[in-house]
Amino acid sequence: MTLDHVPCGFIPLTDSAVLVAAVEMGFAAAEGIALDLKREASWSNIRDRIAMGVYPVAHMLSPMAVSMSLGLGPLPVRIDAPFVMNQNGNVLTARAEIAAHLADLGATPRDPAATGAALRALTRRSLLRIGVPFPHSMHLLLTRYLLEASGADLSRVTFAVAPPPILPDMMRAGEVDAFMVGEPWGSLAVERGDACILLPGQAIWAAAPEKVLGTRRDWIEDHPDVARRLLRAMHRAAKWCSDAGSASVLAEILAMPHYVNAPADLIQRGLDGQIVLNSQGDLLTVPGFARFGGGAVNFPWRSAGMWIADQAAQAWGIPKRQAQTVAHDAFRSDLYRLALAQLDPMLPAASMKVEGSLQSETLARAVSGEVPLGPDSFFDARVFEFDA
Amino acid sequence: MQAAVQHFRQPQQPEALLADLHIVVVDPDKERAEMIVDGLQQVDDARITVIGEVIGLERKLAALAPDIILIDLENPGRDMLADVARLSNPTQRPVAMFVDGSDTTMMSAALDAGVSAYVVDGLRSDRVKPVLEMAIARFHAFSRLTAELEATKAALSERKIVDRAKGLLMKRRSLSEEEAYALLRKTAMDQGKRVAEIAEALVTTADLLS
Repeated sequence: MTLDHVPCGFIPLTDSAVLVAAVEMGFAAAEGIALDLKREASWSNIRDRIAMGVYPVAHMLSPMAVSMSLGLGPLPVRIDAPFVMNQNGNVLTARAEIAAHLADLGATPRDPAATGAALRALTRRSLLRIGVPFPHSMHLLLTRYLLEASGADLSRVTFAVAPPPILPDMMRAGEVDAFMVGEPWGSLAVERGDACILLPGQAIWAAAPEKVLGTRRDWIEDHPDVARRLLRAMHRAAKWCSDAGSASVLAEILAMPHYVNAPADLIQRGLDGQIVLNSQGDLLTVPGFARFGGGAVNFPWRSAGMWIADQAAQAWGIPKRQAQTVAHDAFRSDLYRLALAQLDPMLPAASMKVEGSLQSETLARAVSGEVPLGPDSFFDARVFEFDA
Repeated sequence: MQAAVQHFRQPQQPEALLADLHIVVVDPDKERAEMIVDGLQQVDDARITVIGEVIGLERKLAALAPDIILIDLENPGRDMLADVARLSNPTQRPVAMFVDGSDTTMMSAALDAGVSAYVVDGLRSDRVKPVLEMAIARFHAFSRLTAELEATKAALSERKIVDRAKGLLMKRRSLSEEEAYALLRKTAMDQGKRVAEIAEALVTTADLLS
């Protein structure tokens, strides 16, 4: 059987897991796809190479799919998000002395509201520089959400950008005081002894869509069958990744030099939700630290895309309604349904939901039977309801 | 604290179009940077600064206020040039990646060569194009040089392997050097492989058996 060749860029991060598992565990090949993963040095490269057609699909920050579809960036191209690769998996990390200062002000990784209040108090006294991996990222949106909802003055905060593996070096060099980053790069900074984890990103929004399979819309239209098979392979890979029994094998695979190129034991912390917070070895157990599959984790809720638009539109200089319409159309729950109708009987009946209303796992109506939805609450108990 | 991270030049400054360009080359590879600088000096009386270290790039660029930044695609510093300043302060004029709106061939050529250019908002594209063209040419030249160097290295190591294989055959089968090479060549031909591949297999096998 000849395989369909699909080149795909990725950034070295634990949340490239579903793509890597699709290749290494044979899920892609079983669907007749040779998924050709290419490690990239920056999100800018992912953006430009998918825009130039070098990649039809890529590991992508969820807000990038929206911003690119809105025509932001050097080359406008319509990007769809037919599959959420993971929910959460980021950590807010700070230089040890800043973290100690915040702890004195009441911050604790167990309480996002207290940490938010401490950040507000800190920014009253001094300016704060926070590193994020890209302007169009959940990292920036969630950090700003935390600060804004905690009443902090955002003009006292500046954001700097660097790719995930560079952020720990930026902090060490004194270029930033803190950074929000996907694992294992927060744990790596902790391991080096000069950083403490302030908060798992999941504490800000329990169901934040972190990465998506960014897909050129024209490629989906021209290759509907390949796209469908790719989504089936991703679905199976995601299921495998979300099985607790897979964690140690997955950590070993991701650790390899051509993937994340970081120690397996550091990667495993994020997979197990066992986060070492500081060089004293204090441990925080975070259920659902990063969700790769199961339930409706991979389902691209149109409402989740609209949340991104709701939060980012102003900064992007685009009318909110327009941004929301484009985001709603980019989160392709229709494609997800089409591809997985036979494979996954527990597809949610709805494509929109109220974001932030579930405190704990809740059964929702599925196409057939019921599907368990994980908690999706925000730290400040806000609820977002959007009109399609 | 760096506020005006990417605020390199005030808008509507006519001298920005008339004055000599200030070009920053971001490249940790000293030899390649030299090749690019050398090429750029032939295009323009540009002032050229090379930055090798990526940490603190934004801050350095803010201080240098260049008109054009040339950066290798494999450099993680590309993301540092992303439009983040505007997110903190919408009044700042950002530097943007150079794209000729009417024609993407140049963009495509630049990506192929492995280089990208960022320009201060308002810089005329006819001033950018010759600079980017020269950078593309120099990146290609550098890749060719690197490839040639790699090929030479590979050829040298292949010759060593073939010599070792010949030695093994001469010793084990009491052949002359010419006979040993003839045997390697014949085996390679019969199997449709390269002499070096057969030699490597032989050397590996001999190492395993010894």
